[in-house]
Amino acid sequence: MTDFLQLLLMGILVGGVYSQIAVGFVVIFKSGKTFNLAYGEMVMLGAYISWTAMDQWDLAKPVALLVTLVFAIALGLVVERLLLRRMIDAPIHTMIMLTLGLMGLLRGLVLVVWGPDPHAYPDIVPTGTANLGDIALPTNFIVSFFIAIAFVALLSLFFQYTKAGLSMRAASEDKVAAQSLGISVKRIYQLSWVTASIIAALGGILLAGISGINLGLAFMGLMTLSVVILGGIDSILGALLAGLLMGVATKMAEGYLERIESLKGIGEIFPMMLTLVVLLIRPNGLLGQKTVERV
Amino acid sequence: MQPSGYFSADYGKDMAVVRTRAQWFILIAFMLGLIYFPFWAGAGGRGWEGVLSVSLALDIGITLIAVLGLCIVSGLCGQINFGQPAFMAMGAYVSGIFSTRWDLPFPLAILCAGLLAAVFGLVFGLPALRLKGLYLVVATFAAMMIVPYVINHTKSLTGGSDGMRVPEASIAGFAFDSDIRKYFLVLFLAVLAVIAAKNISRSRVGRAFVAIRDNDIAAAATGVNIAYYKLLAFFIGCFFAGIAGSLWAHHVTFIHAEQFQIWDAIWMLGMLIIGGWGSVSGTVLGVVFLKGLGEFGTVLSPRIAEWAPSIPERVFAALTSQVAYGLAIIIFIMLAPHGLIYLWERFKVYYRLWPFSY
Repeated sequence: MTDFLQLLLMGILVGGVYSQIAVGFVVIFKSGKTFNLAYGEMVMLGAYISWTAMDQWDLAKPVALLVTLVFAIALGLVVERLLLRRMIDAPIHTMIMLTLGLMGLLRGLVLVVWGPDPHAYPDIVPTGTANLGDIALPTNFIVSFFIAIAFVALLSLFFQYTKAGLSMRAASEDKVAAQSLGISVKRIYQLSWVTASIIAALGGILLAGISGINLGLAFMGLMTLSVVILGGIDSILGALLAGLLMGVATKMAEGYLERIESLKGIGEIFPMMLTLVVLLIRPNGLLGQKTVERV
Repeated sequence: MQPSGYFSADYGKDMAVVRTRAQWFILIAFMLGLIYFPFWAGAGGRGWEGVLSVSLALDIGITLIAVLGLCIVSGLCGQINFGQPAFMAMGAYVSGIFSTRWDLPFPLAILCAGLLAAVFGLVFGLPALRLKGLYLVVATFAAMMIVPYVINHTKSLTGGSDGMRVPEASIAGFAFDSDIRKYFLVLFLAVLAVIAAKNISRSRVGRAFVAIRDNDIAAAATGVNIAYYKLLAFFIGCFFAGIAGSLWAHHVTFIHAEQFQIWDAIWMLGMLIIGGWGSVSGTVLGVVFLKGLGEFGTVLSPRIAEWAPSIPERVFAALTSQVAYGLAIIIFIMLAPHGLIYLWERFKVYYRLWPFSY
């Protein structure tokens, strides 16, 4: 029983970080019906920048955070300026290819500047293990989880109650109507990309705290794509739920299914299989809006 | 836009791919050039001669067959398939297993590879009946993850993570063991594949595919059986991938699940986009262009590294493959969103109408 609880709680904790990254993806989608396959690379870049700030430049932790945020804002603006204009009403393959191009570019950039070697990430949250009875949970996971959840909650409130958030939702539903109400759609796009970029950078910091600095961080981006799809591409709550579900599923698969010798390593693909099965039952994800198609 | 002075007097002439005598002449000269090519080029190497080598041409030919399959599924039918290398892997391993374990002769092995990959493609095509757009991308992406996992975990059949040795192709005793012989085999199959793909796109089936791509609800309303045609698209596309995978296996003689990566799926979609989405000639252009770019980079990077020794080698390796790819894609989408073939078509219109081309 304690095994089960251990796996469950670890899964929820890790899933929290996935959710936070996935929410950034949803933000971009909600704002312009565009999706960004290079999101994993943006997460990775945020992690690398923060690592450089803390490790190489020896900055204090809050200053390093600020530097990372500034960089993330700049990245979001640059990407928005260069790419988004082409993507807005483009067919889906254009969107895919542009963001894939960006993915290659960012990945190459990381390789060029930092090289392929993994590094250890300095501890930004107190490490140690919290013990609830027989269950041991690393404290940095716990803190990351709560930061992630707080962030997601803040974002939902942002979209629900602030003027900027409501404008973003309006612009995503109908650009022309939003413009007729006086919303500057151009500003909205900039704002949404900057927001997403900040979310990615923060997610990168949290993720690096868990798995260190290495190129595999970008792979997480592809995993968050399946999290987003599982939850429904336009639902923040869906991203949250799906992230938690994915985390739990991965940990459970690692814990239980990997006991069977022939199923070693299934923890990596189990989330994808889960996504596939859910998609067959609910083609728009768990909480995605059913698209009504007209001819 | 027809060449001037050319009129189609019957339906056959109207549908023809090669129309004037000049076009026949160019086509035959090009084919003869392709046949002569290996005797002119080196057999591979790292210098400038290495850029135009037979092994690069072999690589281009094999990739061309796979990307033609992708053109049919994604370009013509609009079902974005992110898992083409996984189907190639299927074809490679099936061909390898059939030729080593059951000693099947090569022509049968390659046919089985194609057919089994196609059947497997049907399985992954089933989600296409329910999913659209990004959801379908993730479903096919699942194939990219599941196939290497299954390959690595069925050690008894596939050799697992140790890889698998595959004998070289041979037909009735004639072994394709040198690059030049393999080149002709691949050339033959690639030409067949191009003809097949072009004919599919011009036929009733091709028109159904395009209808589904443009608006599948309208296509269904006009009587196109979407389920049948979507599955057929996956079947054909993955058949091509299986054939390409089998050729790859018999070319490199040692296959391993690591050779079929997500990055290859991205490259293939890139070739499709750069060449022209949904156009067979565009696919050829796209494959040649991106493979050429890759080869150029591989050859060029040691040269530049010599010239600027302070910058580490890894910078150029990364620069030339990933950054070049990313930049190429972005620039192409910005400047030529319909692909190279569209630029070519505009050029043709320009010179056909010259000096009235305004």
